[in-house]
Parts: sequence; structure tokens; C-alpha cells
Amino acid sequence: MSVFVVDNEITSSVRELGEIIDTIKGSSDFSQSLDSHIPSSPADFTDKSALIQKVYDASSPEYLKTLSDKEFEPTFNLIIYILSALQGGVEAVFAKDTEDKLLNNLINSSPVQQLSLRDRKSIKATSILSELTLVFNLLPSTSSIRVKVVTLILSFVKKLELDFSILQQSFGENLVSWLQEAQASEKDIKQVFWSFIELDSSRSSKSLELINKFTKQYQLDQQELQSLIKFALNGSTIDLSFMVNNNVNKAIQAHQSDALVALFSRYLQGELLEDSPDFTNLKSKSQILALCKFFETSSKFEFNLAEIPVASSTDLEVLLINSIKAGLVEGKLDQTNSTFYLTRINKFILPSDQQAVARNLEGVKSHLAAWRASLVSVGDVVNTFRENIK
Amino acid sequence: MSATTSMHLVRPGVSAPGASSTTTACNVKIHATAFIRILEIVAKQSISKDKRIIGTLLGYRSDDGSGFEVRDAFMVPCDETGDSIAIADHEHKVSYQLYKKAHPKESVLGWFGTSKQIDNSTGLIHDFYSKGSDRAFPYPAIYLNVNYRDENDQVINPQVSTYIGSTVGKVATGQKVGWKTQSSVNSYVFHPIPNQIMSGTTTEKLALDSLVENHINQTPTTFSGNEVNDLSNLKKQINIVVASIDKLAQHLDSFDINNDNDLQLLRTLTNNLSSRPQSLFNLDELKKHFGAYNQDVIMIEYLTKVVKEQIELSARLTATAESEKKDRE
Repeated sequence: MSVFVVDNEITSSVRELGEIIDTIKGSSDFSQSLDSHIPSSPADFTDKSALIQKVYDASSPEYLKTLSDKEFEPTFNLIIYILSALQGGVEAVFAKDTEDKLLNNLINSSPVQQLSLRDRKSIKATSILSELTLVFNLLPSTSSIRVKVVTLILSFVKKLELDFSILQQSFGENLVSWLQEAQASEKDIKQVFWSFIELDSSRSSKSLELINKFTKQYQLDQQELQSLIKFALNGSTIDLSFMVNNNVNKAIQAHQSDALVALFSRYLQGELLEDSPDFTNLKSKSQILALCKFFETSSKFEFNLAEIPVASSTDLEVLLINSIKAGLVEGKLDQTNSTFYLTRINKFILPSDQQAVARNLEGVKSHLAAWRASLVSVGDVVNTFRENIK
Repeated sequence: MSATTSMHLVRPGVSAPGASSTTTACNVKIHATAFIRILEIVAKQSISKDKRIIGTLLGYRSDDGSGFEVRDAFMVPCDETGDSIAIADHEHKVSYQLYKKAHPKESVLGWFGTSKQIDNSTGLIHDFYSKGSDRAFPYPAIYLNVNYRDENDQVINPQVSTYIGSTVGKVATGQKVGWKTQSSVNSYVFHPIPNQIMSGTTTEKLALDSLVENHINQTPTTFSGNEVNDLSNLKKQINIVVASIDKLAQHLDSFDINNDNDLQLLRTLTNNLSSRPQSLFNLDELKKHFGAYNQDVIMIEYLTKVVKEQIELSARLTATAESEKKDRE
């Protein structure tokens, strides 16, 4: 939680705000208009509403926009502090502000386009984000106003096309828990989450992991499943089997007739697919998956390049290198003898294929048993050599 | 990093003149040794529960001013009476200058305290560390709070929170009154920033494991170089891995396909266990490799001893020759 530490009395803070606005306006009108509402002692405040209205006037973009970036945040901090002191807390300020006047004033003070490199004075978009963050942190975690602030931040980032990396870390780790604590409805949580994910234009693997984490908690309808598929197929991550958790699997089974869902199922099965206007790198991605599928079904480890049917001989070497780069295959490519020696492949475990799950489970169990047995032997070897050294 | 109730997207605007114009999100990394030092200071000084304990944080600051690496800390005496607080500036300066001699590249990052809540004194102390020489100035100071008491004043697991302060209202500047410059105190809003305690080196981890183990078994803690280097440590680690494998195998016996975590575990294991080193499963080959490695180590140790003895012998001979020469003269 953010905390204000102000040593002055509230009347001094109001006068300080008056001085700032006077400097902007170049006259002492504002301070003079405040004087009639400021009592000699804070205890004598009778008509706070007129003073509050004056403070709201001071927060108008007309004034704030004329401040430099360095002056903007301290001034807006002061406005929030005065309003919270006058109205008995930050939550009360935003609860009473039904028209979101303060938040709208804040958003409207931002630049409408990217600032020039020469411009070191104008208010930066990050300063607006910093103030929105402050409002969020001043509110108690159970306050429903937090949902409104999160939505505002998302629309602000979208409108100004700010870099997604600003949000990814903090939002990715905490968004759902913030919304849950703020008692947002499931519908709102889903809506906010998907609008957050859509901001990631690079379709990063980190966002795929966030979707996976989210879909483990919440079931998907057809539209959400389509959003997931579009996001996943347009990204650079090739192995998407980890995205198919039980909720996603249920949604796929329920909407198999949907063309997009059917395409996704074929992709997951390792079928060769062609590029389309919606998915421009589908062919190259599906080729790598088909290659993995071929290796998985073969029982040997050494292959002649000619016997790998996935791509033409000219493209095959590039395909093998790309699949190694993607981390799905490990092995050695011998160009002189046109052979490939396979050491490891990623296996695609899908909950719908129960036989494959059972087969892989048995495989893992036997590997673990062999590993355990060998480790016990390592212990004996260590003991023997220990005695010899002594 | 674990989930938190607060949000941190960009570094808030700070009044420090040396602050970078980029506002990348801040991150505080606390070295395990620095954290233990802070806890030690707190544990030794908590005579009265109302007494405020503060100290200086030392370490590195990243070039863009968003990263803070706390490497050490020392206590600074302070005396709090009512609303006012007196900080032993001289002690702070002396300790910092002494530290600076040994660590010339490190600087003051901010301060730590043990308060249950942020109050007016917090603002005063933060202002002290944000201004003046031998403090964080001209860069923004950070504030690290270690809360070790709950609402009922019972000692709890220490909870670390870190903050950066941004100014509220006009930035206070020195006012000239006659010959004197009176500096006024800034008002702050403290923004929470993420922190992480960095796990230490392998040696530190071994020491910590040993401490924990001894604490559980209630045996006295002893350390010796031999114990760490000895093969017994390897044996201990092997036993830990074997126990983990047993646990994993037991978990897989109750594998549930409808459990997403089980499914993810199976994916991870399938994709990683297939690339195991073959030598691990071939006992004869393993014996050969291990024996050869040990022979190499023994040979290096033997050669090191021989060289060391020769150097010592040469030094003694030179000393004897010189003393004989002096005697003759």
C-alpha cells in the first residue's frame, strides 16, 4: 500500500496548491478564491464541499497540462492528498466521485501522441501511469474501485500504444488475484484478463503461460477459446501442447465443429498445414511439429535425411536447425553423410489422448527407477574411492 | 516473486536531481548476507519494542537508477522523542567512510527501519537520507522496512517491504534567512516497490543448510573446510536426490489425468528425462570416470604440496645463507 507522509496541516497544503495554480495562471486569483473557504484552524472546517469543488477545479487538464513533467506528479499527489484528507480517505474520494472526474482529468492531461525526443518538459505517459498506479495502491485491496483503475490503465496503454513490457511483469503475476480480492465478478475478471492479453502484440511465450495459468482456473466459452487459438497460432511458440489443460480440452471437445478449433486440433496432432491470411507462419510451425511426430513414431535414433518425409531435401536441413533452435529436438546433423542422430525430442502430451498419457507415464516411471538404481550405485562408488583416498 | 496486493509499473517521479529520466520499474535485490546483517542488528537492538532501529543500506545502483542491489548495512543510532527524531549523523558518516575504504565502488542506497507503520518520522528519516553528502543524494533513496511483530506485538517471521518516496507538492528548497540557509522537509508519498532476497553462493547455501539441519537436530554448529570439501557432502546430496525420486515416484502412482498440475509434471518429466547422460547408467564407465577424476585431484594436491614445500625450503635457505653472511662480516 502507498502511504502519504505530510507534515503540514491541511490548510497549508491547500494554500500550497493555490500557489501552484497561481504560478500557472500568472495571477493570484485562485489563492484569493480559496481564502474564503480556508478557516484559520483545520478544526473549524464547516463547508468542505465548496473547497473540494475548488480542488477539483485545480485538477482540470487546463492547468495540469501546463505543468512540466517534473512538476506534474508532485502536484497531482498533493491534489489526491488534499481530497483524501478532506473526505476521510482515498476510497471515499473515488466512491463519491461518481462521474470519475479526477481520473478523467488525469487521463486527459496526458499527451495525445508520442513526445519528440527534444521535448523534455511535457508530461510523459509514464507519469500518468505512475499516478494511476498510486491511486490503485492507495485503495484497500478489497475496494471495487480497483477494478475501474485496472480497466483505465489497460485502455490508457492501448490508446497510447505503450510498450506491453510495462504491464507484463506486475499485471501478469497479480492481475487475477487483485480482481478476485476486489470482488470482481467472473465475467469482469475474464473480460479484463483477455483485454490485458490482447495488448501483447508480440504474442510472447510469457503471455501464453499466463493464459495457461488463467484457463486452469476459469472455463472457456467459444469466443475465449477462439481468442486463445488466434493468440497462440500467431505467436512464435511452436509447441502449444502445454496450453491444453483440462478446461481447454473440454472447450475444444465442446466446439469441435468450429473451423478454427478444428484447425487448432489438427495443429496439435502434428499435421502439416498451409499458411492463411490470418496465420502467416503456420506452415513452418506445423512442419516442425510434423517432424517431431515423425521422430516420436520411429523406433530408431539415426536417420538418413532422405527418409525424413516432412520437407523436401533442400529445406530439411533448415527445418532440422529450426527445430533444434526451438528446443523441440536435440541431435547431431552430419551434412557430409546426410544423416541426423537424434538424442531427444519433445513429446506432445494431450489430455484427450489417454493412451499416450498412460504410455508416457510408464516410460517416466521406468526412467525414474533406473535413475534411482544408478544413484545408489554412485553412492557405493563414492564410498569405495573415499576409503582409497584415506 | 510471489503475488502482491500492490502494483508497480514505472518508477514514480522523484525529486532527486541525479535520477535518470527513464522511468523503468524499480527492483531491489537484497543479498542474503545483507539481510542477515539487518536481522542481526534488529535482533541485538530490540531492547524496547517501541524503540526505533534504523540503519544505512549500502550497495550498487544500476546505470538507469531502477535497480538497487543491497550488499551490506550498518546501524545508525537515533533518538526519537515525541514527534522529533535525532539521527547520529557523525556515526553514519564515520561508518560510511570506513566502509567506503574497503568498498570504493559501493554507495548509500537508502535506509532500513523496523516500524510497524509509515509515520511522520519515516518521512523525516527519508528526507535525511535523500539530502546531503555521504547519503543517497543526488540519487533517490530507498526505504526497506523489516516488520517482525504482529498486531499483538508477538514476534513473527520478518516481512520485508521496500519503498521509494516521491514528493507531495512543491519540492522544499533551502530558504535564506540572513546568513543562514534554513532547509525545510519534503512531504512524501511512499510507493511500494518489489524486492527479492538473493540466494547466496554454493558455500553460503551449504552453510545455511547445515545451520538449519543443526537447528532441527539441536546439535551445535561447527564448520570446517574438510567437512565442506569432503565426499560426505556429495553422498548427502545423492541421498537427497534419491529421496526426491522416491517422493516423485510415489506421487506418480496416484497420477490423475484430470489434474492439470499432474499433466504438466508428466510433460516436464517426459521431455527432460529422455536426455539423461548414458554414463550415469553404466556403472563400470562411471567408476572409470570417477576414479580418473579423483586421481587428477590427488595429483594436483600432491604437486601443490611439493611446490609449497620447495618455496618454504628456498626461503629458509636464503634466510640461513644471509645470517651466515652477516656472521662472517
